[in-house]
Amino acid sequence: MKGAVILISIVFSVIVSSCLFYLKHHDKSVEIDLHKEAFNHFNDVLSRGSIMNCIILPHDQPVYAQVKYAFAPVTLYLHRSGKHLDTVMYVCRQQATDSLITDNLKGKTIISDYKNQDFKYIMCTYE
Amino acid sequence: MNRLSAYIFATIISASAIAILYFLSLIFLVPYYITGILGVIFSFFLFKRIVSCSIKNTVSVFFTICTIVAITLLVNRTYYIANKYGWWDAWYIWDLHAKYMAYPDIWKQLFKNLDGTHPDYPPLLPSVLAFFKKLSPLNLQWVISYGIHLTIMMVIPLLIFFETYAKSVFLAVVTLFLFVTNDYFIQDSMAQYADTLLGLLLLCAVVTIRYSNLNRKYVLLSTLFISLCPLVKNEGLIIMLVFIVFHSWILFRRYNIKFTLLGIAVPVLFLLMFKLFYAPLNDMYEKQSAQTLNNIFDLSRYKLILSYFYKLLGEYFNPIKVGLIIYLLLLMVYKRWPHYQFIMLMCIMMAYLCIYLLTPYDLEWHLFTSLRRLMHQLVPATAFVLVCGISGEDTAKFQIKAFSKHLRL
Repeated sequence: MKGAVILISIVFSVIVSSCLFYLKHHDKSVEIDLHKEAFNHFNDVLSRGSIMNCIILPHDQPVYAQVKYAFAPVTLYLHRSGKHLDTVMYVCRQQATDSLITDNLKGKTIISDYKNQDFKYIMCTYE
Repeated sequence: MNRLSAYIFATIISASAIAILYFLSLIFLVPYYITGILGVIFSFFLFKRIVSCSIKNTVSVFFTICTIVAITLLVNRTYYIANKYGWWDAWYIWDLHAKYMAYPDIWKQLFKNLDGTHPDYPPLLPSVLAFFKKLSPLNLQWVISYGIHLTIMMVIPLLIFFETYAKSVFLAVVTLFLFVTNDYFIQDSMAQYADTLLGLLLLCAVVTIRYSNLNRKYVLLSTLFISLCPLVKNEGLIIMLVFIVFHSWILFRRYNIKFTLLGIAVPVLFLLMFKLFYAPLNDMYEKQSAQTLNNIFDLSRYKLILSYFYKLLGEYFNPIKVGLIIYLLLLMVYKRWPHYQFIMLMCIMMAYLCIYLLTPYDLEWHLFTSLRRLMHQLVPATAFVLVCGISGEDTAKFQIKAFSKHLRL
């Protein structure tokens, strides 16, 4: 009986904790919308298939705005496989300097870029 | 074996089986629902088999209260410490791989994305994440990651507690509460990396092999756990090899060899398939050059690695450091040899440190980014072995003799 209580409390605590964690962070789940317009922009540029998914950068952490991690590739998942397999979208904060961007784009060719209020989006392919 | 521990072992094996099935379903284009049904049937069968090997022992009220209080404390601390998406490697490597794997039509693109995303990393964790994430809507998938990593973290102190309570109530309770109140342990575990899962698998292997004299099926269970390690992280191969060498006198006994091979077979075949047909070359291996030999003879590298190791041990792993000092003092007082599993863990740590000698990357950067995680992997098994050692459960002198005898040293 007590063993069952322990097992139930393990499962119960994971479920409750996940729910509480969701409630704590769900209002910050706007990243998809934040990036959506950029995706639409690039989708038009590429005009091949729809973008299925992306990495959502943890933009709510200030540390990412300052250090090199601010500049991270977001791999696009294109519906039609083929020519754009090596296409990578980089997202960085508006504060990222040009030199930081240039350093991180070595060996890549820019296809298109896009800016909104918070982010710069740069679409590249590998040279 | 404790029945509660058996449930934990069954859950881990079932989740691993589901991950392997899911990865195979991606290769052979099997629909998701069929994999799900197979996974449920397989899990049911595994639960029945594993739990039937355990003993239903009486659980005291104190034991129950300790467990529930510890769970509450851990969940509470995690709520404040955990990060929504984990840290860098989580959303750049492990979660990214899971995202690819969640889409059967494009998952192979994962191996073409070589921009620091390490597609050569083994697929067990991403595969588990992908399987369970597919059950939830897109905007809730990060909660699934959180739940899975929370479970992996929670199971570690509980398993140590369940397995050491009969040896020493005091040490078991102290260890449990040291774990659940340790912010560094929670931080590293909820970074959502694969290191905690690797640490858990090593702990399970170390625990189950101790029951091998009761039932040969524990040999199967232990080898299964240890051979799952290379499917979690590449360094899991080192863990597996060192574990097999140190337990060869048990694993390769005439009556055990069948169970050993059975336990190793599926994970090793799966690993070979992944490495030979899918994974690109490992970056560390690929970047080796003539400079490597010079690195081996560079004394300053040894100095830097050791100073970094001691610094981290004092800064983040203080309870382990104190446990080590107590254990070594007891060994000196009672004039005993350390338990062979303790020596095994030290050997794994040494092997890890040796890798840094050969790293083609900037040594300081490499130590800064990964040594803490490697030490985190060994914390669960080390804590368990130390508690057993300090509680006097391990008759170390005898064990070493037996070990040497079987190795014919």
